[in-house]
Amino acid sequence: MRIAIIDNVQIAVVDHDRLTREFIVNVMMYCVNRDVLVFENAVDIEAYLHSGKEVHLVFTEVHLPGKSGFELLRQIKQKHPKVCLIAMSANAADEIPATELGADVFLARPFALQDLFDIVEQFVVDNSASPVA
Amino acid sequence: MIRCGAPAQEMRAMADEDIFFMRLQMLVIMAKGYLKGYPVGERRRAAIRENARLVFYQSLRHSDRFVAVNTDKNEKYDDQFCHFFCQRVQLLAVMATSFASGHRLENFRRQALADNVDHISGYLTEQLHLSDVPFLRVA
Repeated sequence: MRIAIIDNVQIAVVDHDRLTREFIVNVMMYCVNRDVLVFENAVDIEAYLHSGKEVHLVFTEVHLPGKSGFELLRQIKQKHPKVCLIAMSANAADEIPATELGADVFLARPFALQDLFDIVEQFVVDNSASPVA
Repeated sequence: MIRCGAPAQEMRAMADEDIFFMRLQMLVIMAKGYLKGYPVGERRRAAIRENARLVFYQSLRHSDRFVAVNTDKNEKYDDQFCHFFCQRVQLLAVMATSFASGHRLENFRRQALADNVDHISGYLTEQLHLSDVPFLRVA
């Protein structure tokens, strides 16, 4: 099986915590060799999506200042059901509501580098690519 | 739905130190990828330079925490160990900045990078191998 990254994959990271946000952006940028979209709050990414631009994968903290990440999960899943949503939290009680609101992955803090690699492998690597002749 | 990350009973906010050690692991992976000849496009180069920059500066702040590395080994972890480990981490950051900036590392420099990567990764509690991330072979 030939390994391929999905063409023009767009990954977005929504987190108000700068250290975590920049780390995830750095790892994702290296993994897919493409720019990664960065948002500090839910309103900004909603405006981005509302403008008709496409995103394949969204990492979002569920406890964001202002509009919550839960509300963001609900709205994105409703309007853009094909987008893969990764809900991040440091609170175990958030797992069930995040799942119910449409999160495809619950990323429990503290996570490991391997968890990010696993997410790329699962959602960004195109495993349907044709085998090498 | 897929669940990953910490088990429920171990969940907590991430500390600076968590991020630092993951960045260091990532820098080791980046260096191993370079040594293996994996493709390095512009974004990857930028990611390596940024990660190396942050590892270098954060190593100054976390140098006293290098005792947190693999404690299974029967070695003495003292100030001298922490100091030299910190120097090795900073050297790796400088080497990574160099190859990510397009400077080719040949012969002895390449060997020095490989030795430094082996040394550092040997002390990291969580071992990651390039074979664990096959998609890095493509850009």
